[in-house]
Amino acid sequence: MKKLILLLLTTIITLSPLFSHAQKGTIRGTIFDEGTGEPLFGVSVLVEGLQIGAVTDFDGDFEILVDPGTYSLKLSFISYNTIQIGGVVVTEGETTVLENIKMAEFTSDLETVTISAEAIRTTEAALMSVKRNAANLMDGISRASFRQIGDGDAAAAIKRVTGVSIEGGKYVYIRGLGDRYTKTVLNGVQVPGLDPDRNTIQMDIFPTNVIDNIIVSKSFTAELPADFTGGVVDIETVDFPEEKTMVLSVTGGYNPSMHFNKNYLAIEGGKTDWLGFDDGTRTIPTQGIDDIPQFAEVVGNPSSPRGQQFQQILRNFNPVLGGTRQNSPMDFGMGYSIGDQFKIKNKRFGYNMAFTYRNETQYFTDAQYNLFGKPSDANNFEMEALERSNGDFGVNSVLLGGVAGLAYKSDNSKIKLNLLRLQSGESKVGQFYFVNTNLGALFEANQYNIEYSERAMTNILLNGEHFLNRGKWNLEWKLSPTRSSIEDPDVRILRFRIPNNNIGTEVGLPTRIWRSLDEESLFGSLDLSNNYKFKDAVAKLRFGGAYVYKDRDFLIESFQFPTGSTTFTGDPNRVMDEENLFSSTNRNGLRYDPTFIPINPNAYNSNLNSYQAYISNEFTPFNNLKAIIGVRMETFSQFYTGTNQTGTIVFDNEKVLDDIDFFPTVNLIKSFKSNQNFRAAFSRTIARPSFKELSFAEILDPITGRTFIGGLFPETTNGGTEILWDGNLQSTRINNFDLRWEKFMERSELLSASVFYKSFDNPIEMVQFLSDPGAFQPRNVGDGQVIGVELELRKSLGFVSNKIEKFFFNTNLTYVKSQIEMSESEFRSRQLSAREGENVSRTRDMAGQAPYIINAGFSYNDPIIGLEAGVFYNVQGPTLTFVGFGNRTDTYTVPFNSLNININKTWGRDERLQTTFNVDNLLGDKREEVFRMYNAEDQIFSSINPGRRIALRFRYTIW
Amino acid sequence: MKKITSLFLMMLTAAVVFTSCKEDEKPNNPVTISGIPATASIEAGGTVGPVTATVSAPDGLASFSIKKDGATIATVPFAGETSATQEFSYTATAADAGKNLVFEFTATDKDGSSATVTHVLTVGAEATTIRVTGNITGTVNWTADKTYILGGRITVVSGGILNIAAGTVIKGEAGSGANATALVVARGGKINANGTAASPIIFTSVADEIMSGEIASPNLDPNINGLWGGVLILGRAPGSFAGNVTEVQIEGIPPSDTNGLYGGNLPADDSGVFKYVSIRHGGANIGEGNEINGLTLGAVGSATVIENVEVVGNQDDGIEWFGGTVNVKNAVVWNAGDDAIDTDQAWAGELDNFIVVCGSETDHALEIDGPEGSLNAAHTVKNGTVVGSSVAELGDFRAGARGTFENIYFFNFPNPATSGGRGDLSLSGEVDANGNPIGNKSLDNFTNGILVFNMLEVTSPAGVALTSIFRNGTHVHATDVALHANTIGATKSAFAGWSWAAASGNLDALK
Repeated sequence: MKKLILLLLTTIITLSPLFSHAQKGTIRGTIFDEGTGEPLFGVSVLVEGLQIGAVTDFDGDFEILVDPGTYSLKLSFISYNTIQIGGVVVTEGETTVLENIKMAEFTSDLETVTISAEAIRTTEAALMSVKRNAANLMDGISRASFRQIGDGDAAAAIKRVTGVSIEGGKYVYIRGLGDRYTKTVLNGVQVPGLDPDRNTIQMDIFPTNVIDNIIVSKSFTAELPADFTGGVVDIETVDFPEEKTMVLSVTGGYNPSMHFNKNYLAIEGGKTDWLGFDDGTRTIPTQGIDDIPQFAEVVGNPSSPRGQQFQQILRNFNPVLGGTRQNSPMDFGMGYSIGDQFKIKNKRFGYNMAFTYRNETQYFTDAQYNLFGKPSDANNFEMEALERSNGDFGVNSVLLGGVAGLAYKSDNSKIKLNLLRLQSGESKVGQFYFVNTNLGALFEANQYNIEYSERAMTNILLNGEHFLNRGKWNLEWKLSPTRSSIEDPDVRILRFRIPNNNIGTEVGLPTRIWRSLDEESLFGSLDLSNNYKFKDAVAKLRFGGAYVYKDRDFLIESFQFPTGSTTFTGDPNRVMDEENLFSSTNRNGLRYDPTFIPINPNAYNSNLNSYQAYISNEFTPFNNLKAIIGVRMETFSQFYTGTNQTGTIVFDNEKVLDDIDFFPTVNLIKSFKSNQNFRAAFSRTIARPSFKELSFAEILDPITGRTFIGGLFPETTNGGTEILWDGNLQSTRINNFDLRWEKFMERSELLSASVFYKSFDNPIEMVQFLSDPGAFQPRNVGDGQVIGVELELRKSLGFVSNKIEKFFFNTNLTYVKSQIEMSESEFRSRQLSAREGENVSRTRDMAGQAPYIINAGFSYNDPIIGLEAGVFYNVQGPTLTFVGFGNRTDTYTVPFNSLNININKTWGRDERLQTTFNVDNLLGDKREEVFRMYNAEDQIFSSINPGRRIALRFRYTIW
Repeated sequence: MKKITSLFLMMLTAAVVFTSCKEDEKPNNPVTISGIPATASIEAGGTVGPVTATVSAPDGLASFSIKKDGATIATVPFAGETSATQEFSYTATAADAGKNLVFEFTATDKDGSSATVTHVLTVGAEATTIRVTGNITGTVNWTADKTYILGGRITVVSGGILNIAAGTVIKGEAGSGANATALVVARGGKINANGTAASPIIFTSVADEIMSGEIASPNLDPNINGLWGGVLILGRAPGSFAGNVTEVQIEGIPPSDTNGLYGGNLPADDSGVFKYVSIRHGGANIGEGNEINGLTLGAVGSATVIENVEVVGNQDDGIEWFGGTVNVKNAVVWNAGDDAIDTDQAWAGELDNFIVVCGSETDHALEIDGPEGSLNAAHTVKNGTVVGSSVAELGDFRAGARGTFENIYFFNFPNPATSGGRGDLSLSGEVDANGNPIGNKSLDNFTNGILVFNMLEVTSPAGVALTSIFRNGTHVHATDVALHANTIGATKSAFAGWSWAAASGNLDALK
């Protein structure tokens, strides 16, 4: 992979000078249909006064080479109004870019429309036209806007799309529907992110100069994958950069509560930690050993070969169990990107490459992780503290990413090759004061945690587009393999009981865990579309198919360390001192127990394949009423190889999910008064269980003490006579209804109001075991419903006074009522543990659905002087995260009031230098989750303080 | 188990394949049998097979028969199939030991042609070590002439009965966490472990070289723990569970194994008999608060007999009760890794005559918890002698503990003032979100006569007042006595002869 990038780089650097035209200048542009927002094929572009010109290709692109000077262009196309663009300045060796030229269909006897080149530069993006006229409900942001507002990465840019919120700076939420129901795709391909358990790709890894546009679809159409409900975010990368660019950026971030703090916690990791991967320092000591010796085998004869092997393995565990206090560095990041297009024998080539490096440090003080329960006395309205921990932890995260694209265009074809490689490493070191008061236990302990998580993802996309019959037919195919992995090597947990520093089963034995996940996937698709006339209007028929294959290997290996008769000083890094370790002279010394042999339910393989086909027709059946009607079919088969903990159930590539579904969709748009639309949409979609959810895995999180139980296990009660859960985890089918009114105004202004309703058949939620409240399992719960209203407003303050027309107010308000029919067992459990006077309803909120979301921004934008500044506020209402069972209560997130400031400024005539200044979490709010019980005061489940972060970025355009 | 099933033959027609008959059949085709090995050797009690014999008879198969040493033991008629398969397996009896058994397999077709293949099975001496890998269903007998190896978490499932004869030694294979080897008696299952004072039943680890008839381990110290799991008996008696549910999952067994459920509404439930049993070197830890104890009694009913039990060197608690109504008589716990005697979830029975010998890792000699749900039952713990250690506490009564604790003698505990608060008996309270005490239900119960102490004796460390040992006002029920000058306590004769604690001399000094 690395070699390939290098090769690409050298080729481009050596070739590009050959094709530059130093003596002349270049005019490049893209022409769109104002009505549909789609590129216009075959528009004639003439340079007035010269006998030269060009014709747009299927992407609406044209290019003309001229001597330096100021020109006027004449654009003409049959049945469209001719456009004249004046003041096109061409300088030697430079490219003048005219993007967003829009041509309207011939309306009256109007002659030529005249417009200046400068005006084109600041016009609203063609994407707005697409959005306005698209029959499906969509929104987005495009390359043209990035230039104007100067956001550095996709995560920053997408915040400007109404109705989208970003969680933790990385992951997308649409209409408050989180990960299970929201999906991110790259170039239309489902790519696993750095976290394959999530549907969404981490957004902040894509610098904006490799992105062509980001499209957010909120209503389903048949060419989209059916497993989305909230929406799909599609990041489309650039294929042909309009001009030669080379950009270098450097970012520094400073958080006063976290950086240059000498109490920061860290360990000395591996030599390559700064590059985002482990150098082998954290390798499991039992690697390559089939038959790991156990203590019971060797305690009788420590000096036997088995005994010596045991002692050797024991001594190969890294003795570092606690962090050391040291000074924390500030955040640093840099990015480099390069791109251009050139011609060889009339064939156009484009390339772009971007590298990103980030090294960020966080230090959280006074972090809390607690466990509270309901008291057994129904008259007691104060929750009982079961476990509490309070302490500090430091996090250092490194991200190294590279994107490279190469594109080729001939008269009728376009072929793209895109490579993406991401590597990240996160090192976390914590120290907590722990108090256990669970069921009468009462002890205090000092707790030490060390974690490292390494993630990698490589994706290749080969994509071809072919235009036949002068653009009447369009054939597109994609082939995209991906490989991704997560390794969590050597998660370490240690507790000393206060005051005597002893370690035993009551306080918990020292534990070390190695987790690994490898996934390979393959995506292929073929799409055809045909432009035709229906009732004299443009219509489009789309059909095609896709194939998805994924294969995952999952493994967790964990060790415990009984300490025998060893006594300790309280120094975590002296626990594994030589004199404490098991040996022939210290037979009751500290030893390891491999708890994953012989049966390991957390070693499994899953794979899936899915065949998909669709047909969709976009047409105008009545005047001013456009429709997209389509249907998609998806087969989905998931297979599992693994065993349950007792080894009594062994699955060998057994089919655990087998669905064939048809997903009909209807989108209607009625336009009136030239700038208003009324939309209605219906669709059926699906949300499927993940690999982990359809397994026998039993994953203990040593920090929360919670166990994840795979959905294939049944749970019964009353001596097995009553089935609480049958182990038959099914996909969730969702019916979506949307109604929306919208009004478009000048300068990208927009006002809209929507009502949406979704019904969920068999939604999946994490449910606690009735018999063991520390164990959680994904289960289909009773049916669910979501009803919501959404208001959007994007308005210039120009209506108040012309002087402030560059001020914009931007808001998106979503209010949602969600409801889930409780399962019988949950209802009973709630009744049994109800408080005096509490009326237990049969319904409750849907887990993960926020009741309201407020996004509001106030910004100033002047593209002429290159200044864009804004203040943005986001809050998400209290959201049910874990559903309570038995004596455990529900947990809710506490609204996080996020107020951020962002200022972008470009400098100089060429705008080569751009600075971005932003402040995150200006209000200094904490991120908290709480336990909630009827008539009781909320108690903290988790609380961390992200502090305020100030970041400054310099971006310099070298070319 | 002496009388092993005399003959066990499995005849399963796995697949019968028809091939269409052609008109021009050639007469008198030969019959062939393949797939039977010429020889094999097993131990007495072992099983050969199943092996599959494949018969080909183009003229149509008429019958298939098996002879053992000349006597026909099975004949299978056929209706003219041209090919067939037959499965064969044989379990050798004790009487077969040292013999060569000759099996003859004969297939005959419709026109009388036949084929015979011979299999010679050499049967060795009977194994003295039996590795148990499957759960116990039906009635199973374990006998003292063999050593039984627990190859995993072995459960006597509902309806199963496990009879263990006096003197039997059972050893758990190495395993930890959820992979700990253990013997579980699930709800509705029964154990009849009838040890005697002369021949106790011993549960230990494979690392222990102990043989039937021995009391002390020849090679393991009594403080080595965590080598295997333990014994869990689970019943259908009531318990007081959080959230007022009627059944919950026992500690130490992952929630996915439903044999780990306990609780119900049969107070007089009968899980069998558990007498003269010593359990050693066990204890396994899945996670904090999720451990296997030496002897776990989950909602065991009052019809169950538990007498004369010993737990030595267990990584977690010695004996822990979770609800239930069972009574236990004559128990000794030595070197518990956590607590020696631990009660939870409103156990409603009685512990009579017990000795605790604390080790260097023992936390509480008595850890007594209250109900977790609204069922408020209580237990009685009486006539005990508790030998402390430098790190142990006498007792912790918490979370609304209730019951009667009487005639118990404590000695050899440290001074609480110099041991970080060890060496005391306290009624601990509840705390609020900030860790401040907000109540003490155990203390309330004590004040209200729901938690009762009576006739406690102690030999205090020199110069330590009774009030700093017996806290929260419990000192009024305690008397300071000279070492071994106790007037109450355990009757140690109940442990003589069969327990390792007595055999080691650890009980010699006790009165």
